[in-house]
Amino acid sequence: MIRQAAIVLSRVRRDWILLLIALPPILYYVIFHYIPMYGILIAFKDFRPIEGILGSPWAGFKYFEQFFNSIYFWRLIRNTLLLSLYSLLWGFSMPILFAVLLSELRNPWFKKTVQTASYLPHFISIAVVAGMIVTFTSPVDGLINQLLGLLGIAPINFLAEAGWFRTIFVSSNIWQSFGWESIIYIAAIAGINPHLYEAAEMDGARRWQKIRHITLPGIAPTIVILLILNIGNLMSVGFEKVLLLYNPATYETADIIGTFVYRRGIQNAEFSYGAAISLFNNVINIALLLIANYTSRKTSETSLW
Amino acid sequence: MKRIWKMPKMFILMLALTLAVIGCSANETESPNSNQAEGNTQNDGNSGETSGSIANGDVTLSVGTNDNYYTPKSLTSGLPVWQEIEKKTGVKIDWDVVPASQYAQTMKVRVAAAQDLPDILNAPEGDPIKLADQGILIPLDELIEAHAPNITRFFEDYPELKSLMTAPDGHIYAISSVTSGAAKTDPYALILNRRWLDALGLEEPTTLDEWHRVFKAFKEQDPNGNGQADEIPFSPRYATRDLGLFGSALGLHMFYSSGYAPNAQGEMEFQWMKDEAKELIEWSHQLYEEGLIDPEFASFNEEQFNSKFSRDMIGATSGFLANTANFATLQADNGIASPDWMITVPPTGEASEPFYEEYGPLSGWFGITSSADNPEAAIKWLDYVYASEEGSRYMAFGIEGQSYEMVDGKPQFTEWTMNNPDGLDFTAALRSLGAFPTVPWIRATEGYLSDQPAAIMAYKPDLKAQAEHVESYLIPATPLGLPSVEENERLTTLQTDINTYLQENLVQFVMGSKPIDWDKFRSDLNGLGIEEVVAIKQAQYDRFQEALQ
Repeated sequence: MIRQAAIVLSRVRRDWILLLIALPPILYYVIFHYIPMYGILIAFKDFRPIEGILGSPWAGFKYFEQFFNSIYFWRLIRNTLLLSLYSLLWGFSMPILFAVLLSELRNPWFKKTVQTASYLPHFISIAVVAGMIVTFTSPVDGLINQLLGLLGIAPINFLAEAGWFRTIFVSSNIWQSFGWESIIYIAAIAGINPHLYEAAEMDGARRWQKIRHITLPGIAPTIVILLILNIGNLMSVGFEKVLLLYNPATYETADIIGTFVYRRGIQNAEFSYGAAISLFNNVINIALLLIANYTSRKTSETSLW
Repeated sequence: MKRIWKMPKMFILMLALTLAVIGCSANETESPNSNQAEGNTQNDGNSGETSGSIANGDVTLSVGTNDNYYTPKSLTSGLPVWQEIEKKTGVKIDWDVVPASQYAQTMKVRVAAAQDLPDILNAPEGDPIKLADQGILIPLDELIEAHAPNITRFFEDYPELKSLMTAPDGHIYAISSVTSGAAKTDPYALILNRRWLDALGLEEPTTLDEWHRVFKAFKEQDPNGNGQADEIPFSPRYATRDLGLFGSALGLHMFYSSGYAPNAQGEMEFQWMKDEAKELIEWSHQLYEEGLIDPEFASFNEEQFNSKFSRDMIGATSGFLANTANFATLQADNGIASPDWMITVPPTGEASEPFYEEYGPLSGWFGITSSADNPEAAIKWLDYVYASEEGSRYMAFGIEGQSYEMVDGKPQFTEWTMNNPDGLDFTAALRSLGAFPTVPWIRATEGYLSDQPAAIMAYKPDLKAQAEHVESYLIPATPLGLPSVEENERLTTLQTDINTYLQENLVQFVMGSKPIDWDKFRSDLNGLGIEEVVAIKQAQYDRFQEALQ
């Protein structure tokens, strides 16, 4: 015991600077992510502000039951999952494709320009993006409908037709994020040992073969990790954009858990109910993350842990 | 790999901030969201207590409310009206204000934390019941009796308003701004482009068929004269609620009463479930099919609306009478010659007398919180600004010599207010001084508390003529007493889903994306518990009626 303590102490003395560096992030997570977790209790309480979270009377699973019994329960789950799934399906491959194509470019000036231009939309606030979408898709004088008009197509009321909502949401997401998300892949590609390419060239590999056998395998771990993380977020769609773009005419496809929580939990100040739904949402997220991680660990070498 | 984690979080933070700015778009002026009503009123015309002194400058009260609607002048910057009131009352005010568009959200969270609450609180929720039950607002009735002679007298003069502010347990937890006077002079109605009407030689429509014909003419006969059929005959501002204004022809109270109205036997009904409502929706659908309703009505957006307005594309909408002047200014600023907007008489049908529902009579709830150290000073201060002659004059008229003058013992607005040198409309001009406030104040129908609406009309003969045009059609919205704690909880639980269902389906019916099936519509609403909601509204209605007797 004493010997072990002495060893620990000497290691602390040796590595104290590293420990010091690690301290702020550890404190950050403890203070802002672990301590507030007791607030989850609010989902099981009839929250009364004066008595505080701990003093409020227990409500059991009342709020969960209310949510499960809501006629909108399945619709919310479906909309949330589908919106995410489509985003993942169309949105996940785009940055990979872009990064690979970009890495094949010779002219460094052109390369830099394209890359910079591609991630500019990332810096536009979501409110502005939503405003742009509203303006462009307007059936009265929107740019898109004017172009369609030139082709002889009658104006489409994009934002008032439930069938269009997912398309608009997902495609604008891709436009806004593919450049930014490709940065990590570009970095991963830059990390691939150039000798591999040289060796492949010696063996007479052509460009497509180099991509297939060197670039893609080289960034595969990055792809898998990001995929797992994305799957872990399947149930958390960026609800702000939905909130800015949806309206009663598109609730059918656009109303997601996040917006429902906003309407009931925040606007009606039913904090317990809102917390219950969010907790349920997070439990599903964690389950998905665990499943994805487990599958990946079994089928490939890469996993989060 | 760390990077992946970091970005979304920062992003979300940014989003949260931007969202806070645009998320809740509160209306600049009164939003037509109150559903209370007013009965007969009488007032002996006595003047209020004038000695306003409450303390000797050693008392500070914090007031939590939304900041001045005229945003360039924050309440925290010491506006003239409030400096004067501070001198008169001897009470220093610590303004705990948030911009109006973010107030409800911000204050709800602070209330939920129940810490550092202001002494006087503008309740961020629809009514004070939940806050009172949670112990955040204290009962005011004994305080009013002991320390607030002006409020006491006001309640004696207007017992029906007192009863609307009284919770079922007999206590008053919050007082409310009163708008019954303004409702007569500034009604909410359908607004029509008279220039287009004149250009096509049409008469003001009254029946639904006539409205239909006028809209059709707007669409087809190019009243804006640009050679294109780009006219939008009707652009609703509140989606299906605006279409509900046409329910006047069918005896439907859809606007301020939201469809909850008693029938001739005094039994509460949810009128959206009636056959007449189906008729209204079918009529609206017909209009929509013919391109007579703004295709963007379901996703109303102020900027787009104004942009269409300023390009002379809109034939009719809804609004307060005062909005007609704003619409005309907006169009004139965009080079449209002699814009002319009028409010119309309500649509007429065979089944019922045409009507518009009045705004109010109550708006907002202001109470004293349990964290107030000195509730006595707080109620005295409220008594002064809310119901005393001197205090209410500051609220309604601003500063003597600048925004108003006394003429024959009555306050009259000055040229500075009504034709402001800085180009502000009169509400903004008054707000720049701190008047037209975001604390409780009264625009009643009788006595000194009713001076403001009359003074405005005296200066605006054109508005006065228009107000008189519809005055005989104004009826109170369904008067409902406050719900009890249990009723309130049931209402919040049930109404969210009901409102979602209602808005979604009505919009889809009108746009034709869903066939109009009233049997299913009714049975779905029943499944969502509409009967329980109606029963609660009935109880609220009965309580109000009983209190009057």
